[in-house]
Parts: sequence; C-alpha cells; structure tokens
Amino acid sequence: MYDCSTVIKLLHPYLDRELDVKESVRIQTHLRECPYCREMFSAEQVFQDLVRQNVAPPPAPEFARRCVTAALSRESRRPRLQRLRGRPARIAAGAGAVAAAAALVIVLVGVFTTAVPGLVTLAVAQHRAYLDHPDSLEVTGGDVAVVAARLEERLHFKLRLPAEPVADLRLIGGRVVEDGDRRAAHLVYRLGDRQTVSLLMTPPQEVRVSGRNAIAFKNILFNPADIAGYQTLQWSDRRHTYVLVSSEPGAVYQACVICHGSGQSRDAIAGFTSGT
Amino acid sequence: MLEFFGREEPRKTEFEELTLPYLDSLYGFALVLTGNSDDAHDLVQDAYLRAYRFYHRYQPITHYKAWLFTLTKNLFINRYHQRAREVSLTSLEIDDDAPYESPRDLLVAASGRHEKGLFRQDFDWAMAAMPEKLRLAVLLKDVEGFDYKEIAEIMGCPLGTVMSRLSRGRQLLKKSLKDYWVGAPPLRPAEHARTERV
Repeated sequence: MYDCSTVIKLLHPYLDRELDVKESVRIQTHLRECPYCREMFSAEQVFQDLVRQNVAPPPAPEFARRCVTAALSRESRRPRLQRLRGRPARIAAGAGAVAAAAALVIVLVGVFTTAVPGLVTLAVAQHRAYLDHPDSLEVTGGDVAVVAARLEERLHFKLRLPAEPVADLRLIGGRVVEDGDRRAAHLVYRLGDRQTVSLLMTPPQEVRVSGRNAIAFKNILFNPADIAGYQTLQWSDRRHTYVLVSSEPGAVYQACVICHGSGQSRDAIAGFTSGT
Repeated sequence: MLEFFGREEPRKTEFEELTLPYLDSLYGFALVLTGNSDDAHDLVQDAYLRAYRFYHRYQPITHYKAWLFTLTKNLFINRYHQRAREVSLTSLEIDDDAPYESPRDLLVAASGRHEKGLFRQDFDWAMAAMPEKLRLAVLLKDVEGFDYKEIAEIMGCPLGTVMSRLSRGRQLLKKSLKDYWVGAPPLRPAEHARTERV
C-alpha cells in the first residue's frame, strides 16, 4: 500500500499512463481510500487537460510550408546522383564528349545503388572526366604549395596538402569541383609509370555508407567500394572528407602515402596498407 | 534508366504524405529550440531536406513523428551547438524537493478567465517564461503526446531527467499561472500569503 507522499510522487507518471499495471493498481487502491489524494489527482487531471488545450503552438506560417515543399521539389528534381552531370559535361570539349559524359552518368546511375554516397560517385566521375580529358585540370605541376594556393583561391576551405615528396608518386595537378553550392578539390596523382589516382577533398562532412565493408583503423572508418570498375576509398578526419579513386585496388592503398610519405607517418599506415 | 529518374516523384509524394502533417508540430518545436522564427524556418526546412535524403534508409518505420523530432533536434545541436550549450547553462532550476503544489487554488483563480477567452494568451505567456528545457518537456508530452521514452530519445537525456523536467515544468507553469491569475506579483511573500486565504 502506497502512502500519500509516494502517490504524489507518481502522480505525473500515473496520469501520463507510464506506470505498469501493478503500480497503477496500487495508486488506484490508495485513491479509493484517500479523498485528499483523489481530489488532488482530479484537479491535476483538469489542469493537464487545460495545458493540452491551450499550449499548442500556432501553426507554421504558410510561407514556411511553401518553402519546405519547394525545397523538397528541388531536391527530388535533383536525383541523388545528378550532381555527377554538371561539371564534367561542361568541361568536355565537344558535343560528342558531352554525350559520352552523359552516357557515362547514365551507366553509373544504373549501376549504383543507394548505398553509395554521392561524394564517392562524384569522385569517380571526376576521375573519369580527367582520364577522358587530361587537359581539364585548372592547375598543373608537381609543386604542392603552388597547386594548393591556386585551388584555395576558389575553395571555401583551407586545403591541407602534405608537402613531403614521395618517390613513386607525383602530383599532376588539380581543379575545383562544384557540387551544388559546395566545392571540392580534385587532385590527380601519377603512381609509378602509368597508374592514375584521384583524390577528392571536401570540408569534413557526414557520409553515410552501408558499412558492410568498412575498415576501422586508428579511430577512422575507411569505406572501400568498387564502383563501375573503379576502386574507391572514402574517409574523414577533422580537416577533410577524402575519396581516393583508382582503377586498381592496390593503387588506392598505395596512394595512402600521399599523406603518409615517410618516417613515422609511414609507420602509422603500415598495418593498414599491408592488412588489406 | 528512365525508371531511376521516374521513381523520384512517387517517392516524394509518399514522403510528403508521411511527414508534412507534422510540419506545424515541428515548426513549434523548432521555435522553442531556436527562439526565433527565422532560425526556426531554416531549421525546419533543413530538417525536411535531410529527412528526405535519408528517407530511403529509414528501414524500421515505426514512428515518423518521433524520427522527425529527433532529426530536427540533432540538426539543431550540430548547427547551433555553440548556442545550445549557452542555453543549457541558463536553465532555471527548481528544487526537486519543493512541495507539490496542488492545482486546486489555480483552478479557482482561473475561473472567469475561461469565459473571457483569455486562457490561450495566459498559457502562451506562462510557457514563454519557462526555461527552454522544461518548456520542451511539457510541449513534447502535453502537446505532441510523445511517451517518456520517446521524449528521452528526442531530448537526448535519461528517462529520469524527462520525468523530473516534466514535473518541474508543470509545477512552474502552475505557479506562474497562479501568480498571474491571482494578480500577485511573484516573489512577494506578503501578497502570496494573502492569496492563500482566498
């Protein structure tokens, strides 16, 4: 049997129907025998009904409703992978190239499932656009500082490129990619004699992935994927979200030396590159 | 291939049917979170966009309303987390051990206001005067009808905190309304003593 003070403590959960049957029955038993608590409970019930009827916020302004539906319409007209279409097509030289790029997009779109984040598909499209049109880079040259400075002029974020030279990896150049209102840096590297590796960098962003193949390493989640025959690796740290693209899985992992070129930082990735 | 693009429209219609009925509620919620209509507008719009983008990922569809509220709250914390932290520091604490105040006197004091149609504005005033977290608890429970567990998820706090905020929120609401209705300025003991004899 509950006493009055216990019953008062459970007043709100009881009226909110949050108590289990046993507790509710105990309260009801007490209420049957205690006019003081009974009156209290019914007054509280009346008050809560008043609150319910009187504190509802006013409806959203019609303008807000219109903005939401308009934004949803824009978003639905811009399918998840549509961002692939814009830039590569514009930089392509002739109508044939435009058609080819469009065809590529449609092929990619057909192959992709919703599990592939837009950023990764964007990176693949940029990589292919570069392979088709190597002259599309805005800045060329192996001087990291120069390339970074030129790209930063048009980026909305600071580009942190490691400056350490790596023997078998050369920076070819880069360009700024526009993706809606956001901008990304696309950097192209040559690995050895003939492998080309793309690195897409954006400010850190949330990238949802299926997670099935994700590799957790040093507190970072790396997401490898195979997209239309291209190998990708996507991850984020405090500074950027990155996507590496190459036609060979090995090249993608070797490209980790872009950032971990020598010494300690090479040791830092030893377990990662050898284990995959 | 056309199928891919064509699939978008019915998907959007379905999404709108499921979520737009909650626009008013979400807007009210955003208004309490942000404290002004401009930010509330932006927050709601972003929440809907984000919800739409993640819509196809949301497999176990049990409660769209709670999902939308949680998403809005998380978006708010990410975007305005600096300010959210400031808000949490201003929360006015009420002693948990304060004696329970019966609403009987309040209901007596309220008589008359109802006929004059003044209830609504009285409640608006009293709600606006409450600390954000207590106001949110009352809003989510008494207006939106979420259960304690859902409120805990939305507010990102333990169940016990929900119960405590809800009880403190209702107590404070009662007290403000009573002080207001009996015409006693709060925090003046002499006046308060007089009203208790009423």
